Amino acid sequence: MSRYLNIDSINIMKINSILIANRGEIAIRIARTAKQMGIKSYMFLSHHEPNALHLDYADEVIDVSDNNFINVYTNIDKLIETALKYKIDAIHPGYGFLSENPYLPRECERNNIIFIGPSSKAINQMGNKGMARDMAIKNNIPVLLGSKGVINTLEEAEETSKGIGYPVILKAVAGGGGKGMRVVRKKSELPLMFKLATNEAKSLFDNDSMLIEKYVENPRHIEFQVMADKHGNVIHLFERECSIQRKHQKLLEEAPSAVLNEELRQKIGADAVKICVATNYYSVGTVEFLLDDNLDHYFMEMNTRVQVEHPITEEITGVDIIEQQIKIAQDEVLTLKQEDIKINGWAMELRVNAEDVQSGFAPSTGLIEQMDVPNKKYLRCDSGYQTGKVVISSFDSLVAKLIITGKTRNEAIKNCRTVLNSTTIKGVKTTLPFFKQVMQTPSFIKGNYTTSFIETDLEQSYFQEDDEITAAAALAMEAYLKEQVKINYGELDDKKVSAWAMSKKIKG
Amino acid sequence: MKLIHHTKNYTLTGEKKVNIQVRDNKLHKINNRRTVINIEDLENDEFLIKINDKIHIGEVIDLKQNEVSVMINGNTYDFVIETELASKRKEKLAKNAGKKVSKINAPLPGEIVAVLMSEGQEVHKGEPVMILEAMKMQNEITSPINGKIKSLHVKADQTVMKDQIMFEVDPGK
Repeated sequence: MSRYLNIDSINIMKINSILIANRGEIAIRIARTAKQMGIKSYMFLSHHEPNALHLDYADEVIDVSDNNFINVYTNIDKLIETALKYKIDAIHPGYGFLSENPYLPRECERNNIIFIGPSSKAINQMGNKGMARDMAIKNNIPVLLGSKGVINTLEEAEETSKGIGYPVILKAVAGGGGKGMRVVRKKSELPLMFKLATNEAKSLFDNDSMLIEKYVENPRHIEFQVMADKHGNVIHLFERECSIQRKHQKLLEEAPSAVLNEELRQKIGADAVKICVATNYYSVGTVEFLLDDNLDHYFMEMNTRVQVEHPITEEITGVDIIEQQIKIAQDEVLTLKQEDIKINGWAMELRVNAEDVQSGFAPSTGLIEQMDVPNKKYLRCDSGYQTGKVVISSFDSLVAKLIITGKTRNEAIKNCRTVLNSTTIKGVKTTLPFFKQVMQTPSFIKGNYTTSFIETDLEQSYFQEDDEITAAAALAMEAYLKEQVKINYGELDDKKVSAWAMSKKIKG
Repeated sequence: MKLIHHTKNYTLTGEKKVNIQVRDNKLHKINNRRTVINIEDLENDEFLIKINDKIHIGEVIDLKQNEVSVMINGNTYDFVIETELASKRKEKLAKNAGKKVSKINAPLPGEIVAVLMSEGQEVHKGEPVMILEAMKMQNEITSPINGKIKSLHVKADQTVMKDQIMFEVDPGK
């Protein structure tokens, strides 16, 4: 197989096939671009989800359902073995799972497989919050007051926290996606929070080292999308505002941010680029910053993968981020220049998760009995589910990403309302009622919100119409009375039971 | 012309209590107020509920004896329907008998990552008692009432099944 075309002095390794080591919407998203680029996609059929929707989008499906003991998406040996067996050129890890595990690119390199992502060294360096922080300091990028080096024991944590001053935040050095983080407001909370954070970090990242930083109350979370090739070209694709979070889990993101002016945007963007240059970073990535009340920015961390919320950047810039990521992986020179990247309109992403917002966002699993998403030119729906598919507890709770655009922020909000009013998901409870509530909360409408939005600005976590409880009671009463009449007249027949009700009954 | 009406008062207990008076098998008063309600069956399992000129679309999800679950605008409401008298009697009995011990079951299968309290310890409503990890998320399992931890049925690192009992809280006096 000749993959090497010699153009001048640059070796271009053309990717002809990709093993997508992921599932759900991101697997479908990657396959879509692969198809456009004429690249053959491979996906796994796992025992967890034999009827998964993403399988319909793969050119080739590799059945690993007979092996019940492994999670194929986190098994490096299995991925390498599969790529070699089927002679697949490249592996795309998506997000989560192995996307920020430095051993996967290292093993890929050893086996002459292209890893669609950054180098093993870059993941190690930037994926580790402690090292990334040191790198930022070295390059004069502002960071928050924090621990020098990593913390491994409670004693060290106590000493460091005392030095910084409470409140502090514990962060897993290997963490990402908001996992392995705990806010500690006073000394007495530290032992428990330290235990919880290290536990989570150990189980998710296999590394329980911690970093301690000063905790900023009510910050804004702003991140910059970056893109760098292997030839030293680095650009950014502007920011995403991700302050609507619950327990560090993002629920809604928008691009651009309503609080950045052009000057600030250039300044933070320049810092994002600077950290990539300093680390010889290549591939796509995200540099996260905190913004305090004075709009001063602090480097937080870098995510060395494609992110869940990447579509809003694609919508406002018109750049296919996955396409660029693949091109960079096959050594191409970035043809996009910084001055080519312009913000066009506004985009919001609503993460429709299978969670019960009426009872504290508890996960909700089960059969999706109905899923209707409207067809609008301002709506892009990236989803790994449809009517008849099952949400299981083994994977994350993301059901669909509703990516909604408008010429202005106000128009985007208006479009969000329209979409929310005509989207129906039954069978599992979702965050849809939460977004309805967000869309009528004044601080959100004005674009003036921080990460404490859910705790402080939101009246309740789900939208309720006037008289909704009365209407619910009336309907329940009516249904009960009808049943009584049927019983009295002996008309009780074999009642039709909806699939949803049935599945609830079977599960008990 | 029918002059004698047959009326009956019901109490629906859910997130909030709703009193409904039924007259001649039709909804007459809600929370002691005359309310014009129109419920139309849309045939596709859905109902159009018109109340005070506002329209809601709802669905009956489950009906088991006198327990009814309905969904309106994506929100779910569970009610227990009793006659007003039965409901009052129950409330009184509950008051006399003191509050019941609360048993907390696993809302979904997962792994207990930490038990934050010990038996006999005082606990407040909403205070986390243990952490259950499922769907890659840590879920705080909180006490539904004020009281004392009567017993812990699980320990850290244990895997639990859905609905498995995890702990009991005694409200005391």
